[in-house]
Amino acid sequence: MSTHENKLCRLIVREHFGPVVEKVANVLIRKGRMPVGMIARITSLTSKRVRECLFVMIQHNIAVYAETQEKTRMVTYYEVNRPELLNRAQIPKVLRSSREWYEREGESIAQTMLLHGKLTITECINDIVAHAGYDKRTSAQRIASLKKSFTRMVKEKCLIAVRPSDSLTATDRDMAEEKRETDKMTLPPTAAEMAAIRRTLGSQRDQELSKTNIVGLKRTLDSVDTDGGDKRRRLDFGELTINEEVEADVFFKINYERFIIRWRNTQIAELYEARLNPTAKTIMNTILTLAEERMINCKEDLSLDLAETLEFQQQELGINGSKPKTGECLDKYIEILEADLMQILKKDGGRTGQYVINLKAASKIMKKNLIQTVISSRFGSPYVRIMNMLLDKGKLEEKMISKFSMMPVKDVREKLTTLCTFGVLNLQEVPKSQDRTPSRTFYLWEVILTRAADALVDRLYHTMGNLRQRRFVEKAKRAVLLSKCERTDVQANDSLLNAAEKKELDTLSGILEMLEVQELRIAQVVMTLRDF
Amino acid sequence: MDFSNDTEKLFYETCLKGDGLTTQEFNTQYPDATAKDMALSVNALLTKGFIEVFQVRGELIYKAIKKEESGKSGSLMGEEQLVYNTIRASANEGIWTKHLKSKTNLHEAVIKRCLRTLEHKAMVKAIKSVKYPTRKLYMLMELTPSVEVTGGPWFTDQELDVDFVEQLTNACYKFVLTKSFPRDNSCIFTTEHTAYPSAQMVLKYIMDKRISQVDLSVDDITMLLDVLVYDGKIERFLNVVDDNWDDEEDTDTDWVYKAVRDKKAESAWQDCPCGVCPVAEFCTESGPINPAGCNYYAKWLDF
Ligand code: SF4
Repeated sequence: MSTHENKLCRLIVREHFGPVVEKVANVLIRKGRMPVGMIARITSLTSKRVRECLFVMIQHNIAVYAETQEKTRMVTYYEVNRPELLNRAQIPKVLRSSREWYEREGESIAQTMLLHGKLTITECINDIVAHAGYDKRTSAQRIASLKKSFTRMVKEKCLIAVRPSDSLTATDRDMAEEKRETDKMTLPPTAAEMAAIRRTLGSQRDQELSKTNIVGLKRTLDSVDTDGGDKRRRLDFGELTINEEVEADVFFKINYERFIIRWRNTQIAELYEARLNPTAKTIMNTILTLAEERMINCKEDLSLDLAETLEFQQQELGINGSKPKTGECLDKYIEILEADLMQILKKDGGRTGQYVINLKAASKIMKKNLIQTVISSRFGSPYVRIMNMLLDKGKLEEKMISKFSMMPVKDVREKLTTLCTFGVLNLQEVPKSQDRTPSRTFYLWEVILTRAADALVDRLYHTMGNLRQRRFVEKAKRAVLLSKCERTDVQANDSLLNAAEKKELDTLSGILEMLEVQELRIAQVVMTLRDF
Repeated sequence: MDFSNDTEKLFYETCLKGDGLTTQEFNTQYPDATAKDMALSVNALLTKGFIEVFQVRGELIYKAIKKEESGKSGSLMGEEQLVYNTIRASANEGIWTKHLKSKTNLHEAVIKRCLRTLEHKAMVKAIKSVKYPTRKLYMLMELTPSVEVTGGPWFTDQELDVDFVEQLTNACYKFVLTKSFPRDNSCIFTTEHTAYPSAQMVLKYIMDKRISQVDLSVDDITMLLDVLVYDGKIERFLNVVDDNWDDEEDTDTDWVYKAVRDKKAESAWQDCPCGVCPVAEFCTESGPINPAGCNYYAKWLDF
């Protein structure tokens, strides 16, 4: 929660919701949770205004609240939902991916959802159709296809149902659950009991997450005759189909997490492309897609109950048509993938034919690669050498580093300090004697990958904030021109703009594009470091 | 070797047999030698440099010096001999003048004088150590300094020869690279492929091509390859062991190396001014350095 992150959050709010909401958000971002009255006092807005702002933020899922009993009255505290807010930086990418995965319909749905924060299926579709202005017949068609895409998006968890508990903070939710448990007891719980409660609640939560049925999706069996019989058998034979329908009264929102999982999966596959070849990527991609449905969030590693197992079926992979005589080639390829030193794809010991994807290893490799490229393009390859060595060997002293990296000690020393100020290295002192004299102290250097990633993310937030601010500045510089462009008569007839103005507009759009694209690219880097 | 009397000879030969001898021991073995005789011969032997004397727990122990070794010190006298022997004891590690002084208990000026004569006679030489660049070490002329002292083949004049290291590293990388992928660049080897080079093979290649003038060992090459591993250019792994593997001695060559495909090292961050900005630490939203008035941006966005 550095100042850089705060600034970025604030600028995102400014761009998406305007200056008034920004004021409110700013207070919440900087000072943490607080009730309406306090916000109003600090921002010197009327409390009605504040309420409106908070409403907007809650509608867009970037604010959460908690109610507590204070003496006789209930006080509601509001808080910013940071992850959700920072995810908004990814919106352009979300839209593009929706188009890729669900075509035009998907994009319109995603766009509408983002515009309104949360919507039910009917609201969403009506909104799209109303804006498109179709005649009766085409609109009926469109509705049908939109419905289909919407259902698919829900089924694939790109859209997720909003439940009342979502507007509470996660910690509040956990605390409430814990309280419920402890209230049942007569005595205050011991530490061990408390831990046990937390454990059971935690596992309950995990179960909830990994449940296969999706909230907001009704499953019905679609069949003409209902005279019973073995349903399962008939399902298998295709006489019955499962009909899935989105419940009309459930509100949905964009599930960034799922998008991020998919992006991550493509990135994992791309790792293989770089190391091996495009075919390897295709195969890996297919494997990951097969496993994707059961992935819950990006932070899981390969603990047993969350293991990404998949039944390996040759035909399924073969569809990709990697090579003629697919079966054999495929076997070979899988072998290669498995033997690869990244060790992401592994055969599950014991059960035959099942493969496991080591997500943790994959994310570590991706992070490492990323930090490496940053270091090497900023400082040069000798620095990367030092970093990798420390990652491999753990804590080392200057002399050892110099010896293993085959660089003179004085160069090494200088590089170490540079890296340390950059935030990649950690220094640990081990004094040999009580008095801690520097000359009788070992100085051990090490790289802690997560900490390095955090340090880098902070710098990237700074950059993103700067890019965004510059974008506002560039727009503000040309405010007069822009407001002219928005006049209805100018919009109708662009000959009202003279040549110089047109040129200026071109420059502006070029600049904005550059800044936006750059911010998006950096957002992607941040995603790798933070979310994967 | 010439001994002036039988006692001398006897004493020397007894010394030669064992691993250190005291006068008592000698006495029990040869009771007919008188104490005076013995003292005289020991003294004579010591001056001739045929035996050495040590003091262990208050006892004097004598040790014979082999004929070949004593050859040179025999021609020296007194202090010089002492200095020479101390230097010889340090073998190929060399000995620092300070240590020499404390070991011999001689005055610095005396040691200096001895060293000068010894150097003059081309019996010892002065070397420098990589570990302690400020110390002057002495060792026998005919010895080559140990790796500890010289730092191995990578050091020229006590300094790491960066260029040499880099050249060799590159050569190693190129060699590994050619062995890592099939000729056709889009193909990859299957898992059955086992012809990845080991350090031994790299060494052979380097020596055959005469890339290095210096003699290198497998360990030296391994160091270079390790550096390449850290550079992220190659990877090290254990080769799949053959089924008919029974060559127990060959365990050193298990590690083989394989090049990593070149990653395009581009980072989105460095593409914009902030990623390479020297004053980023001071850049705040509305401070004296800020994105709004930033010149780097102005340049970047100028088309
Ligand atoms: S905005 Fe300008 S001054 Fe600030 S960090 Fe970026 S390049 Fe540097």
